[in-house]
Amino acid sequence: MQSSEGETTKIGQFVSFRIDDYLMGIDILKVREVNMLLDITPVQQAPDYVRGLINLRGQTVLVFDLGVVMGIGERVLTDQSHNIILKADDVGLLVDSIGDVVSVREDAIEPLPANRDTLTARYAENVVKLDKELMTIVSIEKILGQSKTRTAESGV
Amino acid sequence: MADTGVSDLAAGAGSEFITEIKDDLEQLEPDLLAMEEQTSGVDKDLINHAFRAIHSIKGGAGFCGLKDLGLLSHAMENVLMRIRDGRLSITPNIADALLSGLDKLKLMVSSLDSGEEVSYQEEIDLFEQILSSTETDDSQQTDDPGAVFSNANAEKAGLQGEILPNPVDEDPYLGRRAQAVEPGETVTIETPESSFFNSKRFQVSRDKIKTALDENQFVYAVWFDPVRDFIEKKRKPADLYNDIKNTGEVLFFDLDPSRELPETAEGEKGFYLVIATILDGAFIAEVLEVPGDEIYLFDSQVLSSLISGDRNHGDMPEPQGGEPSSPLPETLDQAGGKGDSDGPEPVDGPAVPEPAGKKAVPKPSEEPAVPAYAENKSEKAAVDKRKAIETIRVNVDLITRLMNFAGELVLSRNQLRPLVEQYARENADLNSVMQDLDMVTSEIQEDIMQIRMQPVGHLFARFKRIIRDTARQLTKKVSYTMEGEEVELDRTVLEGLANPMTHLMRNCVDHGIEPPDQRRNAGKPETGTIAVKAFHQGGHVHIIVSDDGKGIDPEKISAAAVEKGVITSETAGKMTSREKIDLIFSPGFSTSDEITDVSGRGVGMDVVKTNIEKLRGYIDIDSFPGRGTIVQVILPLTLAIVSALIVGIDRFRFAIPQVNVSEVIFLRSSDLRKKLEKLGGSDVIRLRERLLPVIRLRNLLDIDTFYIDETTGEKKIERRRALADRRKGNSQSSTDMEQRSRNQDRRQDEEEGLYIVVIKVGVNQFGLCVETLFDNEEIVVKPLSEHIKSCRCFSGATILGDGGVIMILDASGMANEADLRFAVVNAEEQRRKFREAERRQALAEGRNVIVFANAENEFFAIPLEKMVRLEKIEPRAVHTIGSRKFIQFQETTIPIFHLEEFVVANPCAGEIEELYVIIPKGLSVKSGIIVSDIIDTMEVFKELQRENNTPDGVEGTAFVDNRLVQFLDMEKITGLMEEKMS
Repeated sequence: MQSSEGETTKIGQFVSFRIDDYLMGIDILKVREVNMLLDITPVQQAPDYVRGLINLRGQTVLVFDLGVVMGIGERVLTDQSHNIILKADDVGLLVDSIGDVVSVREDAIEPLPANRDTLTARYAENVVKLDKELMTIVSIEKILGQSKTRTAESGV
Repeated sequence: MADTGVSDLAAGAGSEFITEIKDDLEQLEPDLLAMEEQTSGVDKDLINHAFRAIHSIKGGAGFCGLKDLGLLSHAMENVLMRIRDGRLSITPNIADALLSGLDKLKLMVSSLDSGEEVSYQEEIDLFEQILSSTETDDSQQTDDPGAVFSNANAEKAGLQGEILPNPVDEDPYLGRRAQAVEPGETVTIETPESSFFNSKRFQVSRDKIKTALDENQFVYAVWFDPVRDFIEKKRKPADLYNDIKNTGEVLFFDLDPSRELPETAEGEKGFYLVIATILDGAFIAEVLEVPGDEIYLFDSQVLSSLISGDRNHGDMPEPQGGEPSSPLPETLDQAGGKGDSDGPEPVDGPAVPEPAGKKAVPKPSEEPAVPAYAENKSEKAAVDKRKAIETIRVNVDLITRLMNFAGELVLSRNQLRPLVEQYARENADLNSVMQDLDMVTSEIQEDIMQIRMQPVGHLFARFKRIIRDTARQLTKKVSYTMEGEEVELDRTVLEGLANPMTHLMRNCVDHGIEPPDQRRNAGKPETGTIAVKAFHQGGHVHIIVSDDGKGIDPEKISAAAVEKGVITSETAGKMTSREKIDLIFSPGFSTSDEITDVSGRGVGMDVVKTNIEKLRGYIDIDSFPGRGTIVQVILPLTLAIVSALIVGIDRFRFAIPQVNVSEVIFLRSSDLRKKLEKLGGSDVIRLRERLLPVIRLRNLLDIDTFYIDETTGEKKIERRRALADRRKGNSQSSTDMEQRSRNQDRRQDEEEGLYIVVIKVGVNQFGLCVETLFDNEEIVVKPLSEHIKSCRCFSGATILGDGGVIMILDASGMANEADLRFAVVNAEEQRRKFREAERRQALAEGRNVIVFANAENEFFAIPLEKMVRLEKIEPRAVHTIGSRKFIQFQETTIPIFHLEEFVVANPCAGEIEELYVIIPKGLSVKSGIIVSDIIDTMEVFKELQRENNTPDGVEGTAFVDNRLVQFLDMEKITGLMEEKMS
């Protein structure tokens, strides 16, 4: 897409979603699909952020409760809940609701503001200023990395 | 001196050659080791086999332009040739040299990609030293310094007229016409009239043809044009020689390489070459730079009947492959086509000796190839080589993908089946179609699994070298035997086994087998033995490694463990010997006084155990101090698709692989309470002769039970109760929850019970209590994601036919999680068995009894020693007063009783003519028991059977003289009699 100055500006696209009231986004290139497969089989003895396994067309995919990962609390399944299946690791994230795919110009992506609460700061990498709200861009690496650390700590 | 400049041709076909070279290298090791062991002269077939392997390596190296590889293999070939000719015997030092040469060759091949330099000067020097020392010996034996090989080789080659080369420069053909002269030792081969060669005949060595056929080589006649091949290419005959000698065995060549060709071709007619080579037509044409129609391939069947029937070529009908060009496309397909289409790369293979990235797949009717030192070696080797043509090299990734698809296919079939069954009523054809699909799917799955199976022999054979080298390093004498090499395992399991088992082997030699003098002093043979054995049993593969070394001392181990703080000395005091030996598996453990270079310190056995458990296997050690050690590894047979039992707790379902399931029992809750005991911190029940620790799956996985609070209507979590809590049904505590749970309990008591799945883990068993039992299902095992690897109880997940995801339970994981102390349970079991045996022994000692009957055909026995008197009376003599009966005995009146008053027995028949009264010993007041018939007195040696339902008053039963006799417990009965009389 050309900007008015005649240069090419990079556009980032993000899948937006909500956890409680937080508006968040994930880089669309990291997302394999979004679905509502909510028949999640719990895995006993798994870490608390593991919601369970789903059957994705014959493959078993592990679903994390993103609320638990971020320390915000366990998600309650509603008819708005969705899974965001990531390309990495065959893992899905359970969220409260899905929003639109948001196209954002690269220069609209800002680093986290200094006063952001530390909780979300652990999992976020950037923020995007939208018309009415701030969308926090979530870092997959941090989410998966966190879980791996916690797995390691539990003595695997 | 790194190998550079692999020729273009070689680059394309080169990977095939590299693979062949690797195969040959693998073959060489067991051959060399076997040769070393043959103290009384090396077996001819064995040395020939080894020689051919190194020769083929040299050839392949030459073709691919791998100079260093060629030089080193050439040197080794020279040494082997000496050995073959009996002029050099294999000492351990020479074996060392050959083996390290072999290692260098392997290193060279694996460094091909990286282009790293591999220095081999040391090995070359060593070989030259070996060669020159024998050279001086032999040169004294013959007059002709050049004809060193004359007699021995000449016989083989049938080339007596040939001047054979100087040992150091082993080129049989330089400077000489390799034309066979000796009649009888040669055959005449002829090209057909129709070919380019127009009936040209060649006389060649019979032996060489035979060798060529044995090795499945092609025999070609080639014609060189002086103009095109030499003058125009500015090529010297000597150069051509160099090229040719690297491609195969020359049977005939009428070009003298020392010649110089004139500038013009006048008068030059061209040169004929007959060569035996493994290269097929297209390659030969390229290597020699000769057009295809100037090459003629001799039909191998014709050649073969020639040398066996000793007929001349002219007698044979026109061979099939008359057209020079026609064999070529076939062979091209066979040799190069299939593999190349995938564009494989010669990647370094895994630890298991397999050609890099590929696997030879034998046709189903074949047996796997046997190691070179099997019996009837050369024949087997020849047969194997011929069979090898029927294999295809397939990329391993392709096979893995096939396997995954087979798994998906099984899954889909499982999902289809119930749907079909639904509609089968309306459409009967569906059933038969489903059946076909079922069968085909299962067959496909099994066959594909079979592809990945490899004999453990490959792995076992590698240990030979390791043991030999380790033993030599430590100056110990060790012999090694293998059994069950043909047992097959999935290749990934084999790969996973390689490291742990290698460690076990090293340990064995290092810590197990004592030095020779120690063994001698202990009265053992100086040479220790390590034996590996593999066999199938019940869906598992067992691998047993046993040695006759000094064994493992439980006390030493536990002392070391206490010292290292692994356990407290208090705990150590309570451990059984077996448990102490198991301490070896604790992390960070070692008892070596010194850190040996060989097996290292402290990272050994726990890593071995972990690795084996990763393969869903199990390892067990047993040891007899002073006598030896036995290590047993048990591995599951299949990886991906397993038959599993589906069980349930509440709405959760779980799969238990069938190979782990021994049986399933149903117990009512009340029975469970009765049978439950506590032992070593676990609950156990008695199952027939065994004590079975039991765990409740619900507790193991922390599955909460919910109940609805009657007052608030909320769903609340029940406080989890142990199995044994069910026994406390009568507790006085009065909280609402317990009251409720007691109610629930009572309901469950009356209606329900639990299923106990008896699960095998290695050599032990335990019971898993589950609430619902479903069917058996064929499931596809999906591995656990990294994030949940910490769940020890699960070994994977699967998708059922109805689409639901369920977890697969892991037997040893559950046992570990529940902290089951099998050793303690087993010890107690042994104690009880012992006591029971003692008791039976006591009972079974011969005793004199009197056998009698009460009702007809119902027999009893009393020990004679417990009897005072036996009287025969007439029925009239029985007086009845009220409900009591009396008789007259020795001037007194004594009460008498019927047997059925004390023991479950039928009464005497009504009208009998005579009765007997037995008066037992030990009564305060004499009294008697009436019986109807005395059968006999006898001495009985039998053990008495005692069941749960043996009635009171009866000690046990036994068959005596074909009668079932109940042996009375006289103490009990006299006790009852006393009661009655008081």
